[in-house]
Amino acid sequence: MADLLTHVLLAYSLGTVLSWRYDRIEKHHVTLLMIGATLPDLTRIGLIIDPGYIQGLGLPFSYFPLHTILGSLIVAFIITQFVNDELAFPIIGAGALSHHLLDSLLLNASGYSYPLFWPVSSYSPPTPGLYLSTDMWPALVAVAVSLIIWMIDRKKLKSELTLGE
Amino acid sequence: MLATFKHRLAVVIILTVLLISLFVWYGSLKPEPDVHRYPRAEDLIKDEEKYVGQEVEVGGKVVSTTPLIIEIEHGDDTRELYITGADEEPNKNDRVTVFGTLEDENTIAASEIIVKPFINYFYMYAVSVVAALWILFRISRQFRWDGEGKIFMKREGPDG
Repeated sequence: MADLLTHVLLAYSLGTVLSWRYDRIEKHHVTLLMIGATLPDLTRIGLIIDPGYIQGLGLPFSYFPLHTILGSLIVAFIITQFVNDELAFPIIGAGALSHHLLDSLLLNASGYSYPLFWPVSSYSPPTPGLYLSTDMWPALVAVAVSLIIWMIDRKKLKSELTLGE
Repeated sequence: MLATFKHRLAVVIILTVLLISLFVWYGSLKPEPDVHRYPRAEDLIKDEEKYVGQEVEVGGKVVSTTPLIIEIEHGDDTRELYITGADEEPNKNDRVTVFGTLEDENTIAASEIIVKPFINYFYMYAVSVVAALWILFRISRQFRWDGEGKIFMKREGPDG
């Protein structure tokens, strides 16, 4: 997994650009997209409740399904039950998919990514190995891109306000 | 979105049960090198003899650099493994992921090793906290909790 900030910045950029193209996408939808981009990393819950302890109770257990497309879409649908917005599920789901897209490019020792389509398929696609989750440069690139998009967005907003007056 | 809170709660319970079932199902899967699911730390800790001669992929903390020894862990259990043939020179306390052949119960002949320096790990968690705080800030500005409907509503105004 790339660091969470990179995922969230990518989602912010993606959501903001989409809001320029589609009037239905508002600022709070950008936030929902950012939330979606964090969902696969809920596997980090393992830092608090180690799966080894649960296995110690005699139950086979792994948080990995949270880091599959199906698992993150299930979590997205659960969150959707608490958000009064008809676009909530597709947008949170799209955020989760953007996370998987970035993570499928990560460098992995075996040369293969992870079974993101499980349980439909156990196939792990080969990864181009562009970066590590601990590399700093992906976040720096993401910050630069997001800043440019933020500035364009501010400019667009100002010009819309001026036109409205 | 379903109309009533009871219906929504039922959906949440059903999906949570489904999710937990997936946790148990995946946890029961054995390593399957054909689909690149190699034995990992937990498999080696449980039964390392079984995987001697096979390709494994494990992550662990460097506890010695000469010779290169990493500590793998699973729950409260830990094991130390010698790594041979590594083309990288990690420092003590760095995290590494090793892909290679388990030559004997305590040695992996590495064909690939990825080093994640300790400081980069610290960085990764620090910026992740920043990301989480940013999202929480945006949620507080753009959404409000409707106690009656037990649902988040868009907050009206320039930030919504």
